[in-house]
Amino acid sequence: MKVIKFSLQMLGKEKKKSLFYIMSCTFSVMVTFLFLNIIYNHHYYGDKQIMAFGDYNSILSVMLSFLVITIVVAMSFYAYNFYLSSQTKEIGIFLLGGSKLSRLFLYLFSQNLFIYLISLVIGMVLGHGVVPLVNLYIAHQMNIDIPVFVYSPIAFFGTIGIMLAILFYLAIVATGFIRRHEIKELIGMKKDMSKKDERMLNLPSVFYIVLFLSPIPAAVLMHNPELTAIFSFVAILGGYKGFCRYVLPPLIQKIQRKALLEHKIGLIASGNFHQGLVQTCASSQIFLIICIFMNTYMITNANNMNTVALIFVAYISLVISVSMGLLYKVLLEVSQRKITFNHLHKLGYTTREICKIIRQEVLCLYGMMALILLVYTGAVYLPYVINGNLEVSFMMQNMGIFLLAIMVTGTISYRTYKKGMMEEIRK
Amino acid sequence: MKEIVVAKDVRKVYGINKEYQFEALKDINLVIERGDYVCVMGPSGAGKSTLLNVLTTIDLPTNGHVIINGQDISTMSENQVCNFRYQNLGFIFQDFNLIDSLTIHENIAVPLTMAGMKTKEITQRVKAIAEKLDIIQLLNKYPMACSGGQRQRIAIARALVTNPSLIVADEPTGNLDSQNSHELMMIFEKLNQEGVTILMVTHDALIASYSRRLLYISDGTIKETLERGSLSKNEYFNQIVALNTKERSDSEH
Repeated sequence: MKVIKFSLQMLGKEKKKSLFYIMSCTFSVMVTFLFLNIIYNHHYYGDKQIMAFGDYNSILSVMLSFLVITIVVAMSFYAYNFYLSSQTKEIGIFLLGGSKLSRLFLYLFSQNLFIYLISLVIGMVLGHGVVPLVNLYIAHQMNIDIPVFVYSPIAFFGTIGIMLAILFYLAIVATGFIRRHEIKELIGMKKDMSKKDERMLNLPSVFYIVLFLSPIPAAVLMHNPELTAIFSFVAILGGYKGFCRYVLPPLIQKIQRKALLEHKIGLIASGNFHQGLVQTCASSQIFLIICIFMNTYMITNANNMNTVALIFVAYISLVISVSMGLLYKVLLEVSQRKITFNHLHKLGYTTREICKIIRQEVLCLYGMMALILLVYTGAVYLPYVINGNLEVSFMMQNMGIFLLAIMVTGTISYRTYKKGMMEEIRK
Repeated sequence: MKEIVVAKDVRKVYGINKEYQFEALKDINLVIERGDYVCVMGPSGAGKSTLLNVLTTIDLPTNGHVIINGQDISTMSENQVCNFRYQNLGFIFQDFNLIDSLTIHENIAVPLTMAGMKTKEITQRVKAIAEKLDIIQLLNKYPMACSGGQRQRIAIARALVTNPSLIVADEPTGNLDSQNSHELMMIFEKLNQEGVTILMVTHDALIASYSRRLLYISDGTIKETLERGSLSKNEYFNQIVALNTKERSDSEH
């Protein structure tokens, strides 16, 4: 009982970090419930007379729904990973007290159980509100008349079952993760800007630049969205990381020494921007890949409005889910800059200048993501729009979704980041 | 003007208008002269760091006046205080406080950038101070890739690069081993001989014995002042140890 009480006390002390994790879990519950409801809604699939999605598209739609559930659940794993990485010090201290593995499991399990109970209640309530809206939207897009207040008991119990399975899985994996690390490591875990170059092959910078830009000529020359998407995946998986880790550091150093040494805002903001880019690389990659994948999927199914309606719902769900993951990661990373900004203030930076640094850093971080997505998806859309195969409004609507997500995530990041730093300085 | 820092009837109270008030500093009067090397000692919670913060514009006194280089800091706006800080003061902290996202070169350059210098002059000054402190080979590295001793040298380089009137060091040897602590004190001693004024907080009697004057602070007031004068380092150290022992036994009774 003492372990459970202690774990809940620690949860209460880290309200902000817990809140983001709860939000992410709540969203997972809601989306899982929503898509299970779509899969088990017999008005879409079961009745042969209606078969709203059509035979072939029914299979695709079920697969897409499972894919969305898988990705959203994976994002809650990801959120837990961030949550756990922000708790390593507390766990290290807990272990210093001589706690056994079973007690550690109980500690982690009770924290997750509490979070998932809250998330299940809120997520289910939200899910029950969202299901009719989505049914209404899909029915409207498909021009069919179906009842909107349709809830499947399988979806209800299925969601609870999936969340319970995740709960056990997370506690076991987290215990294993802690077990693999020394207590000293857990207490002192800190990100290193100058990670050793562990590449098997020391490729020149130009390779990453070419790889990074390859989707543009691919789109222009091939006129094939699937092939362009494959180029984009490779560019983001290999090129983006290589670009951030091996091309940008010397480039930013050069820019800082030649052009930014006289700019007190730009000097700090550029360093922080680069650090943020490296630290949030994986989250950004997931966001970029999801957006490109869903846009490509919509282009290839543009002639079938039935499927596009479901893809669009999936697209919005995934964009919200990965945006939350990205936001969580950005906020966790920037929260470690409190000492830096406090010290900059001691050195003579005014609070207004510190706000400017934060603004520039956040603008560059999210601006770069928006630019990459605009270029990559634009390269896929434009040949179709120019040839008249796709409407401009279709392109604008789909691009608008990720741009809106970036703007909202960026604004929340900026406000939370600024508030955190100002509170620290005023202390 | 000989006086660099003057504190007149300085009082600092935390938690004003709150249930629990705490008086961290009580009527402090103090003069630090140009070229001085002052060390502040005292038990934990005595008010050492508060005194340092109030004397160096990081915190404002509740009552009284702090005058640095003839300017009363309580009359300055936030902008003026910030300008004043990078023009006159050089800070060195226990945990180095380097900016992780900048290379060593840019870390040292920050105060010069703030002072509005040109790129060429900044680069020259950074290289000159890096050579003086033997850290030229570290300029392209990030702070996390440097050892504790190297990071403290970098922090000193950043504090000195603007030629400030006053070096402020809060427990500068707190994270260093004895060898690096000794090297740091030798650097401070040399700087002081060159005319740099130093104000340092420490709880280590051996580190304090490198200073010229010692202020023993307890319960927010300066209880004793020791002058090194013509004493040898050993004699001065013995006096500091004796003072610490006496003050501790007084406070226990």
